[in-house]
Amino acid sequence: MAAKASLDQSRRVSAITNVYTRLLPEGMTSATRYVALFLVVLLGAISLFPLYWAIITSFKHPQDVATIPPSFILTRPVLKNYIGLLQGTGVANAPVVRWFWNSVFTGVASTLGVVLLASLAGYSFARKQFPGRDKIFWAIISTMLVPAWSTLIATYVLTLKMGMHDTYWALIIPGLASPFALFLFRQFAMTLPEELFQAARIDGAHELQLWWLITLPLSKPVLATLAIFTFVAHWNDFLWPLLVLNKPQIYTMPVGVSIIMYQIRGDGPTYGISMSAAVLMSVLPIAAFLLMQRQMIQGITIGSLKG
Amino acid sequence: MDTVDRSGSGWQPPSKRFPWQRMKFSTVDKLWGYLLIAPFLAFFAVFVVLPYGMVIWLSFVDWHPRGITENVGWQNYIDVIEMPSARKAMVNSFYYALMVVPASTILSLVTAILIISLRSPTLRGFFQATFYLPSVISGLAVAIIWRFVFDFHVGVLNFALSLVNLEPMNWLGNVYSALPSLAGMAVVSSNGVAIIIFCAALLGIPTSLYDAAAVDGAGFWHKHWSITLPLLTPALLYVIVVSTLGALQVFVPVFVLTRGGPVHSTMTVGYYIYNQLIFYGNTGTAAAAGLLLLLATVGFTIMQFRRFSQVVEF
Repeated sequence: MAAKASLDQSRRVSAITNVYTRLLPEGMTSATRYVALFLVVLLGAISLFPLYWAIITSFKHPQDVATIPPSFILTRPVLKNYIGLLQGTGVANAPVVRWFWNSVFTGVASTLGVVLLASLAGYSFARKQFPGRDKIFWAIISTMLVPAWSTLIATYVLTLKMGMHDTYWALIIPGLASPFALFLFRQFAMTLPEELFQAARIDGAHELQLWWLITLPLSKPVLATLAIFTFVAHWNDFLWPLLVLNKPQIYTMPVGVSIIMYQIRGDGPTYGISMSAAVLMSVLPIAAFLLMQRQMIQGITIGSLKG
Repeated sequence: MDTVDRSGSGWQPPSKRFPWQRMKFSTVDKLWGYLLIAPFLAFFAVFVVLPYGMVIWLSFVDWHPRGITENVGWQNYIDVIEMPSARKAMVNSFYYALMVVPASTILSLVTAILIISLRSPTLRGFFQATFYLPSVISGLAVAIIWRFVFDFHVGVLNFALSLVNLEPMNWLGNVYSALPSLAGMAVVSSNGVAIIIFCAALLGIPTSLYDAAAVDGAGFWHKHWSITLPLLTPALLYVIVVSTLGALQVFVPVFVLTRGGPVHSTMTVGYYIYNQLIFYGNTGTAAAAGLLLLLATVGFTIMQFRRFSQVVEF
């Protein structure tokens, strides 16, 4: 038994490793393999370079920021740029900490709302039978192919008329019905075993209990993925807050940073402050990614290939 | 798309054996189905569906936040078509998409093939993460960083040029190089998602196909042309459609790096709409331009779907 199992396993492992050997030219395999590795490292270095450059520049002394030739390593790290940013260097009325809080608060609120609506509706689309179910679902999903710019003006006018501009509501409410979140949750809810639902129905559970007691606890991985995607997207969103927020007190981090960039004109030594702003905006998304790499990468593939 | 009934509504508790009981059960079931999607649908109707109607209305009127709304017929569309900056914006957006989409798709595909052909699974995971990492940070942060990279005096790019004894370039300040510079930045910095998708799709190709091709004596290029590409069609279609959609709407890099200049050379549809809406308060022309963009995008998407369905049939 054990021997057979291990044989099976080794076969499976060799099958997996073999898949990848088919993609490169045949012959001189180890040489091509090193060339491939070298190219991957080179491309990876290019794609990571801007981020690396921003991080080390943000910790440089303002005098070392704009030098020719540039220094690619950090010799004397200081926090001057960050302190300058937090004090709102030369910019009147720049409450950076408040902006950070605005972004976090509205991000968490809209994430909770998106997950709640998408999980209720996703459960229904995946597990219930009602006339027009699939038509409604695909109609909702197809709106993802429409450019956001087309209806942005209308949403702008609508939220203006509703008196939402310059309030947290404008950042939370319009994005609550997210087709992407619905799609992701529905795809996952379809894979749950029907027996569980039947057993719960026999025990007399009603639909909300089926959703709350069966679907949600089993969906923790996809809920985590969904929450992280929604939060990061909200955190990174720049265009919508830029349109609907006019009071500095209510700005989100990206809008505030863009205003600072506009005012300091960012050349010469002030590039240090720009870079620290860029790094400060990127800390949360990067931390989220490092913590939840696997879920995020799976989420992307679910969102694209199974559609 | 899923035709299998997994909801189990065919199941009945033993006591509900009679037709009227069954009917009642399934009606209640249907009502629950609608009830559970109702909150989502309510927000969807107000903030996604209603704006489609509103934007059509807005494109035919002259709208003011605190004033009289006048019906102006097709005037907004005529304004957009006759305005040089709007025409320039349309041309630039297509030109930009044409530069970005093929280049970044090919670059991500090549990168994905290279990653998947690495022998160690740990390294594969590591490089997928490496390439995805820059995609989680915001477009605004990326643009702010690249502003430093593009700088004429102290930018890294001009330093690199000076290493090989070339004259420094005014990347963003020159009418001819500004838009290509933005496109180049997009090609280098926005591949993460596409690479992850291509990696997953490559892993799904059965090895036996490559073996059969090898037996038939197919070379490296022939193998990829006749196996890898056709089998990657769904992933390719998704990546191309999504990146075209993104490229046609480009806004943030323009806003941070060039503000549409020099001389409208980087004016894109997104930046044009923003300008009309925020600086000139012209909701009418903004709405008309948005709808023209919508038409163009839908046209592009249908074209891409057609082109790819031909490939699939082949």
